Amino acid sequence: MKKHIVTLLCAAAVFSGCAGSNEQETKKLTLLAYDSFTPSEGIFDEFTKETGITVEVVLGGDTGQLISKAILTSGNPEGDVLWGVDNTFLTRAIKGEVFSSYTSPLTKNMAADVVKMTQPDGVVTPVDTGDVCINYDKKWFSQRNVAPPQSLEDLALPAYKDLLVVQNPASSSPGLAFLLSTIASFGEDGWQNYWKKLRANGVKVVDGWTEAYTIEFSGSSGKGTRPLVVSYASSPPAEVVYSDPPVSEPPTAVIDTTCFHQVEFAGILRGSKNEDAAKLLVDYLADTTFQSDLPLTLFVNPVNKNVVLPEVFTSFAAQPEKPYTMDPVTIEENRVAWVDNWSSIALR
Amino acid sequence: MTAPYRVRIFKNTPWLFVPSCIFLSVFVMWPTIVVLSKSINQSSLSRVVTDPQLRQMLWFTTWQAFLSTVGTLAIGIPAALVLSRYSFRARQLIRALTFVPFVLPTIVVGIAFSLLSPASYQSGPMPLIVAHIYLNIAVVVRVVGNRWEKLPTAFNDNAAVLGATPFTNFRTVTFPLLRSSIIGAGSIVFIFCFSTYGAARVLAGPRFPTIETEIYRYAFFLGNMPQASALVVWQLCAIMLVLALTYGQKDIYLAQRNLMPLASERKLKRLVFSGAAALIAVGTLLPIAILFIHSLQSSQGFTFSHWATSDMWTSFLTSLGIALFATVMALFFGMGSALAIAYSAQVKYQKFVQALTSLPIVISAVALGLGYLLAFRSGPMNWRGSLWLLAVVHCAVALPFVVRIIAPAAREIQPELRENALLLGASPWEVWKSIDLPFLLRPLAIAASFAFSISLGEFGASSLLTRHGHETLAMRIGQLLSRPGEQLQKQAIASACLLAFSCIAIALIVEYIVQLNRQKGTQ
Repeated sequence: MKKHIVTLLCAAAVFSGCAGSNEQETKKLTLLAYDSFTPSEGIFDEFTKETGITVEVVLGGDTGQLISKAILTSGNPEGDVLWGVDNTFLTRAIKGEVFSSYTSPLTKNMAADVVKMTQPDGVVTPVDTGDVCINYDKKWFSQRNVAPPQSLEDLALPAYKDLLVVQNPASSSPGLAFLLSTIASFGEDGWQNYWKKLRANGVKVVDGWTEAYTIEFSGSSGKGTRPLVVSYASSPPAEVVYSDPPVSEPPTAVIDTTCFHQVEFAGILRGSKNEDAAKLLVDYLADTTFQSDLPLTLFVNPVNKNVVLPEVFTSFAAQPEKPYTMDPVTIEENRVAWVDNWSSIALR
Repeated sequence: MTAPYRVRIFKNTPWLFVPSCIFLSVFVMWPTIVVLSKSINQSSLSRVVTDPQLRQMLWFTTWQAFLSTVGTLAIGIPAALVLSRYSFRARQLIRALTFVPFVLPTIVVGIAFSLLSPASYQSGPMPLIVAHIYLNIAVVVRVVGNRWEKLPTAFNDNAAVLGATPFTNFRTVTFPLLRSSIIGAGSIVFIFCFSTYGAARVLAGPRFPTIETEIYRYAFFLGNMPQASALVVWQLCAIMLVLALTYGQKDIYLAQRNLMPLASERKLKRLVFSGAAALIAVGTLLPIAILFIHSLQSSQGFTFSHWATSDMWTSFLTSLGIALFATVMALFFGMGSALAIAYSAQVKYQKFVQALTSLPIVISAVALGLGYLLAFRSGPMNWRGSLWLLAVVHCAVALPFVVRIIAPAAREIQPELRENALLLGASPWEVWKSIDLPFLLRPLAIAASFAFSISLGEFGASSLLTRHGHETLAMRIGQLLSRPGEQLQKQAIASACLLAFSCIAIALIVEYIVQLNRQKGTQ
């Protein structure tokens, strides 16, 4: 038995030797990201060629998990750079002292309202934007000769009774974005009344995006019964790119007056031993090479204005003109109260 | 019927537990203590009882777990009867099939159900309870069935001759002999349903949170770690209480025996039994069959393209490697702990070992995952991101089951056999090798299939560990399902089918080995 223990300990030692990356070798950076971070293979090769630094991508859960973990390990982080904190989580991450302040000079190529979200602190750098919008099943509406809804108000009309499925804002990121959209639209005094009407009109609330989109929604791979769902503005092009067999038209479309604008940021994790190299990586993430890869791999909008968008993306991804949005500080200050209030209206 | 006098040849064997004790301290207790001590506080602990919403949540968690357990036993016991009283051709296959729902990702089960009846798919307590029954029948079939197989038919026959109705026969003869296994199975099922996560999210819906979904929500969506930790502690106490109440059932020794062939029975009985067996097979297979067909479909007819992605097979290999490593570890530590329990004469020590080895199912997966993050991050223990840590987590999660399968079997070995061998001049080691080991091969094989399947399906704790691009099949399913696009969705379904098929294959291989072994034994 003793022999076994010794063998096991040796094995552990050998393994940890492999895993505990050599700290002396400053030529390696770890990029921490959410699970759906799927850029093209070899996208960091150019960065390595330019700087001699290799990038290892490490995935660790969804955005909420990533941020909670980063706060728990603040000061002794799991990586050097974090990709993917959005405006609904940014303030919490900053309060948790997750980041070491750095904003890339490339923000000069970005839209002013997006850059403004990192103010007044300038702790992180914007890297992509996306919109959470109501998606609809085109076939469902055309077969019945019903016009799809045009606005948030329409969703409460009797013509659209029992057609909408949304996510619980208490546990889902798009669910929260849609709630924020209604709060931004109807104001601090009006949104509760709107949700009462939605509930009376048979809105269905499920826990997460997967349940809503793949089980309840009628327009994608599942066999759900509801033709209206909260998803992303980029879901229709994703349906084309990952269609089976290839299609030229997405089966779904977006109601672009219902959108909430999300901005995602990248930042250097406080406690990183390679801060200077990490700055170079953040710059690379905001530069055109990497930004051009985003639309068709992560299905988000690049923030760098010098990027030319691919056609399949521009023709099918809605680019809402005036999406609702909210600054990170307001979101963090009110989020618990809003969600609790929402729960008592929409669930109980 | 236990022997009044025993020569305890293995009386000084508490050291058998030492390796597992070290393992559990380092990889279960320490991470948990680190994460709890960092975040817990008094007010969040007391808020669990004072806050009406949390109280309501606790109450719902408890009653749905209770009803689920009652329902699982009500259906599982007849199923165990059908599968363990007579031998018939497809018996092993059907037993293996009942195990599949147990390892399927719950979201995939949810998708299967919604494909079955899209319109009637309504979330709430009822679907959750039904799903719990479906998911946990395997536990009852295994635990109660293994005991029932050994029950001599003569007992029931004698009672019947004396005029007992079938019901009286069950109540006064069968039930008392099965009671300990029923309570054992019931307590495991209750614990599972109490700490339910995926099924609750998909099937009960947002109106009915359970304790594990609330732990998750507080930790990751609200960023309120103190409250999440407080709930972890409450859950820990509740499950410990259940374990304490159900442990220590006395068992009467029953020897392994060969089953009567069903073909030798009366026609009516044959019909009822084979009909019921067919029903069990169809019930468990239907969702998988639906998923399999779904994975082969595209809008232009049949295709194998969703099965032909190299990503799926790469992560499948990763899963197999991790599962193999985890199984070997779980058997090593589990066997040590189980024998420490079985060979000990002191009930207190038995309870101590049993309690410690139960810890991994008592502690919330969220707490374990976060604990790893904090505990193994600096100096020589900087193991974050290493692949073998995944195998360690899987080993920890499987350990309680391995112990629970091996310990009762080891306790049932007749001491007289050892005494005889000892009298004939064998050394203790020879006694163990020639008497105990052959008896333990069957439970070891069953435990191996459990551990392997648990590792293949584990998602909760491992999804919190960071990793360098090596994802297991179960993680890959979750990732694919979180993105739009029919191809990705179908690939997720194909991966889930692969997971199910692997579990069936493992269970069948193990049953086959066990059969071979038994035939050798009878020759």
